[in-house]
Amino acid sequence: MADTLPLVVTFDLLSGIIALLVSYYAFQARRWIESSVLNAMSFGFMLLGAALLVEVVTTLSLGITVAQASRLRTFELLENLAYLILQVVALAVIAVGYGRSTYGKTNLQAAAPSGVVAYAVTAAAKTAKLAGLALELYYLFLGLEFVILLVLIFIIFQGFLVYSKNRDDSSLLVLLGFALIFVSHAVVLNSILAISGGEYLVAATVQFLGFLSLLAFVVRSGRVGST
Amino acid sequence: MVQPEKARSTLKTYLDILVTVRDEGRAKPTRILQRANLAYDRLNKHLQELVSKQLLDERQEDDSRYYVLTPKGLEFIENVRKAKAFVKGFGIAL
Repeated sequence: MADTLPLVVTFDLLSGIIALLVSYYAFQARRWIESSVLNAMSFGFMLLGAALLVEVVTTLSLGITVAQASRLRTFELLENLAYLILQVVALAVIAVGYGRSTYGKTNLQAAAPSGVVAYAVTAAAKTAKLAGLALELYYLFLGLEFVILLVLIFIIFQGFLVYSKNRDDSSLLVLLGFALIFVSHAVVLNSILAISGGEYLVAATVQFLGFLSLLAFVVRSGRVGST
Repeated sequence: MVQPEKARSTLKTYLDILVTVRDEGRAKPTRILQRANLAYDRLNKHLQELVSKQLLDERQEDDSRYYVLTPKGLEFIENVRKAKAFVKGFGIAL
């Protein structure tokens, strides 16, 4: 696992920088177009970038990823907790902003992908390894990742509605970006359930690809403006 | 599905006027009125605003008045187009 940490850190760092870039671009756009959606995007992506940078610091200082954090027993867990909470808040802000840009109001579905639930049952036996505080934190991290996935489902749904209406490449890149981030978090959830952390490089890579899609969207927006 | 916002219409009107002046090089109010599809009183109001914001320059030649785009106006067009392309990705239309 240790040999993959530099790659994980690099991908998370680059993803965080791209998130901050999207936030800056949304902030710049606010100078010309007043919109509550842009406020939400700017703030949400800033938090997302901050969360990823917190994750980078955590990974570097602890030599461990969030998927393995339940193994820790000390206050260092707070760093991982901060990362997950920032992610939840950031994505919730983006979801609210995205939701406002469409008329289609949807309720979050409480149902989880059946595969995940089935896996949770089988993985429950593995939690027997953990006890006391570690077990409670394990469930807390699991719950937060689950909330992140639910919020991302909502965001992807909004993105799909926008793309269905626009049929525009920009909307498609945003949708693709969030879809890949969703897949990444699904892999992290799987990793937490398995108490392995082994798949974290896959998650970081897929997440990075998602942010690359968002970067392509930002670059494309800049090019359109120059024509 | 996509929710329009009130502020958009003014911004789009500004953009239409500025693009018209840019394309024409220098434009008389009647020409802008035709291309931007505006009522005369509204056009005058917007033109005054754009001149006061230094996005347009008003000039007088013989008995006629015409407008030219300022460097700030050209920058405004580019920035608004970039912003427009950005917000389009999130389903917001001007």
